[in-house]
Amino acid sequence: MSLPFFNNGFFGLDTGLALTVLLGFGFGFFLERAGFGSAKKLAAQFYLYDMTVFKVMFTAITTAMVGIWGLAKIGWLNIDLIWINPTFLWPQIVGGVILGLGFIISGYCPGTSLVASVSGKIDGMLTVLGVIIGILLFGFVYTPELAAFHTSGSMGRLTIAQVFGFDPMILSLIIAAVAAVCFIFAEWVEKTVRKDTDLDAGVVKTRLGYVLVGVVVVSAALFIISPSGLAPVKAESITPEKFGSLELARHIVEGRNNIVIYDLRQGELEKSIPGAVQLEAEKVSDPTFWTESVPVHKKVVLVASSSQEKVPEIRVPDSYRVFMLEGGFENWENTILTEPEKIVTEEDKERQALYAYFTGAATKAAPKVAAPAFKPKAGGKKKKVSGGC
Amino acid sequence: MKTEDTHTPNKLWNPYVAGFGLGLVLLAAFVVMGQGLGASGGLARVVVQTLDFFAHDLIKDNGHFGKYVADGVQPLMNFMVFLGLGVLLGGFISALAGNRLKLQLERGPRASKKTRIIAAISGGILMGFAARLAYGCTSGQALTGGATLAAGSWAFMLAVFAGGYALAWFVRRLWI
Repeated sequence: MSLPFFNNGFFGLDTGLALTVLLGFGFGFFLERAGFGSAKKLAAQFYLYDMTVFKVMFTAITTAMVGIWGLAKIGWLNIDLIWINPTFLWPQIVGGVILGLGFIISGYCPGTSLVASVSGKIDGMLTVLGVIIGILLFGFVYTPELAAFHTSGSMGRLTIAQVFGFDPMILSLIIAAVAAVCFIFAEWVEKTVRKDTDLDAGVVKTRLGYVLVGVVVVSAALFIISPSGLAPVKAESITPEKFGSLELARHIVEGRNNIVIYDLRQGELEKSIPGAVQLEAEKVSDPTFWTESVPVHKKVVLVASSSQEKVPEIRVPDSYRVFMLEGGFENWENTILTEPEKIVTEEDKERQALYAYFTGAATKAAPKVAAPAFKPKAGGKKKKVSGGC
Repeated sequence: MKTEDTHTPNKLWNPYVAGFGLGLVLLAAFVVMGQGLGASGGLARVVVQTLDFFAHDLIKDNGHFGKYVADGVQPLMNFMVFLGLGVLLGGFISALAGNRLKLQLERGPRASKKTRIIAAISGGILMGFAARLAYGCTSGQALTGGATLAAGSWAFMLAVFAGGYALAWFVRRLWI
């Protein structure tokens, strides 16, 4: 099973977009089925007399989470190809708090405001109007200072599994178990808060609930942003290690998709390394380029034209492994794209086979290469989708 | 023939069942398209496209929106937009089938219409701004990022609950 379907080239963009409408249909449908077209029901979560928001959200998250990491574990789903929201810790925390404020004031979140609107709720439509204004406001006050904050606390494609050092599937099951316990607690909270028909008494009970919830939420938040939990990382200038042409060639031939190759040579390239992506050299100095475009768990190989070429300062956030192709493309040409003079050593034989592979050329004296150390894989179209909001 | 009963809404689904259904849709999104759900992103693109129609120069030079129109890219040819379209359809059909389709200004028992209107718009403004800042809203960050265990998304999720609960007491007159 090669999931996800779209990224593995099972169908094209048009079909993909059509299927996406269906997915959206399911999304809107279930939101409305849960009663999320009603602001009163949504807001009730924050007064603890209706915990539907919590129940629906965490059931949904847990279901999908166990599904995703389970499928990944059995090798059906390629995690490298799915969109994992990059972490920009500070704007996400601040944005989250502000969204929470907006949520309790309007009674909706952006998604539910859409659902409310199509069920006839005028307050939902007004909320959508507000969201539009807010979006425009953000764009038009996007000063360099805001932009800098917007990209601060960048940690790339980090998961909480990596943060806590757990296997993602194990963590998913742990979270599912914790969620189950929380649901039992939620049922109790709901029942307890509703017991009093007297509104004021209900509010008194709710106050106690706030303290509890507040303590939990604040401790969790503190834990997450504390140095032992998640230390904010800064980008630093690095000197990349060397990566040999032979090794790179082997990676490509074996179909190992754990490296990303960036070709820093400018202009039209007559010849290039298969799978390499051309990149403006200055981008390597931009930490946000790394966090937005490069998965942190992949090795990166930068290709200059030769070892003489000056490459801009490479500034990456922590955890990235960046290499320079030793000798640049010049070396690749001489090692891989040039037929070896004599075939004597094992390395010569390997170079011969690689030469044939990468140039598609018939070789001089077709030597008997004893069972090659590598097995070329049939390449499928692997697309990395840029998702998120 | 229903008369005064026409707007008695049908019973809502059990939250765990609805949540499970939602979770399957979220999972399907990843399995089929390699990415999760979202709402604010699609809305933002529609906004950008609309504005671009009237003031292209303003949009293309904008530090935040410029990328949506750079190099002749069409903001609307994007998963988020088509998702949003589906959300509107799905929500509508569910409301229709559930007898919950009704033009109304829903508000808490102690809130006036004017208060509700101001609250809806201002709350929306905060959320629109926040969703851009946080790279998504509850759909794109909490639900989607939550399922993929994305660290920033989990932090966002906790922050949303924290913000909501922190302010709830002070705006209780809107709802209870």
